[in-house]
Amino acid sequence: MNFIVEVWVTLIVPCLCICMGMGLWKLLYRKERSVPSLADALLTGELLLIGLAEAAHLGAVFLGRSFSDCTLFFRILLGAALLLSGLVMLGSAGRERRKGRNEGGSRGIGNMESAEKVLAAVFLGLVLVQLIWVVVNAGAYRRGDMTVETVGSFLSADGIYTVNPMTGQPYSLGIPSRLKILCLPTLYGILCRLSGLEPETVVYTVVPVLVAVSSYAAFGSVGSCLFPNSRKKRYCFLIAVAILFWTGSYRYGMDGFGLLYCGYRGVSVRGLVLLPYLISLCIRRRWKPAILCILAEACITWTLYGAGAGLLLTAGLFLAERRQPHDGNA
Amino acid sequence: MTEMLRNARQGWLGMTDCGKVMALFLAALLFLWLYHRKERQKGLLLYTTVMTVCCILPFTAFILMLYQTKFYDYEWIWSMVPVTAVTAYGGTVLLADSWQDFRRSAWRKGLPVTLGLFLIALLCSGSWDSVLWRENRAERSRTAEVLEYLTDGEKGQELCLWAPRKIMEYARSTDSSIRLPYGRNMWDITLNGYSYDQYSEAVTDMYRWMCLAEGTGETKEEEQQGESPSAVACLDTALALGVNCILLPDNTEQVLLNEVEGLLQMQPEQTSGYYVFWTE
Repeated sequence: MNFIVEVWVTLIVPCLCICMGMGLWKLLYRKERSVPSLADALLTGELLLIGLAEAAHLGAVFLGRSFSDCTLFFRILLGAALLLSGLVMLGSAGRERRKGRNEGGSRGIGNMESAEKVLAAVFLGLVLVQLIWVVVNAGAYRRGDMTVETVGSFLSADGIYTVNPMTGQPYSLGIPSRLKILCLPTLYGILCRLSGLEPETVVYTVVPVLVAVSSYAAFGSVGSCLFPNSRKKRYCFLIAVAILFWTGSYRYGMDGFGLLYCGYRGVSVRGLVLLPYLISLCIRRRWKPAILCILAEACITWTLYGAGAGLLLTAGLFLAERRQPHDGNA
Repeated sequence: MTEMLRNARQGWLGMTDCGKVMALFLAALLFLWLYHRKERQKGLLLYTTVMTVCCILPFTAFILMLYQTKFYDYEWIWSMVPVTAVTAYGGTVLLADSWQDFRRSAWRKGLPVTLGLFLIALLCSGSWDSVLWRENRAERSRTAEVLEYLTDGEKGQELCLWAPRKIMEYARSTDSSIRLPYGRNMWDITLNGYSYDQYSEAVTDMYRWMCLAEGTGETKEEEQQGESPSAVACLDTALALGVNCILLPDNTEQVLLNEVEGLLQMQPEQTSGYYVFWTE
């Protein structure tokens, strides 16, 4: 039964993110008639999800409300975001219809060349093996991390950072405020509350699988920027990424290690999802979602007053890309 | 600050000690600069090169470590460098060239290059000690078994547990309603960055005493030097902290076990390799 719920949560979260991301992307680029790619929709939706979790988390922390109230805030915000996205998409579809625009869309699987099919099959095989690995090795590396205990303490005490996750006893001196504002444990706790799954299951299994899928979406987005005219090269790029994840799984701090052993950590989400997506956005000069990425990083990792790796990467790529001609690929 | 400077100086060596992904990355970067001259993504390459140099040189690495706050270690400054993306980019460009844009007829050149790259990737990988993880998993399931027994026997009370390290390690993640006098951050000191709270000397003595009961080498030495904490003081601290269940491993020395039995004036229950004392 638990397994079915796990699968259901793993499927429903990306679907919700895609719906929200589609609406947000349309809202950010109202004047453009292009439809966002699935990767853009998923990743923008995840940025929005982090934003909603942060809003609910901060609301509960600063108003001194319980974790149940925080979950309720999040539900309301999520509902509002979905409704708004639906309205934006309906409005956009209506405008497109009136103007009689019909985008060609991407080529389907039936139109793939045999080499593309082989590369796609190899890539999907590698991803599948990695997802199985992630599930089998759930919670393999816990050193320096107490996410499960933190989520568990939120749920059992029905409060955010009211008790020390390590002991379950009330804090005597408290925690650094820069950690207190980070929302990932709250987001995971909300997932536990809404799905009824145990913190260990959500943190060690469901979230790493979602992060792995999102990571490939982000790297796929980078591949689309590097090789806009060749789907074969894009698949080859993703295969290379998958192999590099295996190769680099030997050391804490490497992308591969984060993906295969601790995908739930803020630094892993940043390294595997936010930063690759940020690279693709910077190459495409899509600065609005890039700002969302920078903000999302500040919500999930300890940064220098909001200035994290994302900001430095954006600034660096902005300066470096300024010297290059822009071909308008988006 | 001194330690951070040392990390910045030695961090790069640490990054390259077991696996060689960084060597692969540098080779890919060099390949893209030298060979692929018509490259469209010069901006990305320029940024990557500058940041790579900054991460390798100790002084700039130190500044980057300050920028990413002192909370994170050296390896995390490499987040700012797109290592995986650029290495995969270099590999893809090389493969596409050798396969002449993935034509089947170009297999004479393409296949050896593909196999060669795969072999190089294999040789550059290292291995993480997963034996430790398998042991941990066994311990985790054993802890769950013991905790199930304890929560069944707690008689409606909230369980406050003092137990050997193996049990304390997984107690809170297995059941978050259990309270502990000290947590995993007693031995995993990296966790202390998450809170301002610190353990008192009396609580640290409790941990040392329990290590002694478990027979840890370090505390054995202390015992020989006459520095071992006293059972009376540790039990007093435990009871003051509200501990209502004490677990001792079944290989506890008889003298120590008798001492605890005498102090608590009770006989323990036995389960899954542990003596259980209910203090309330």
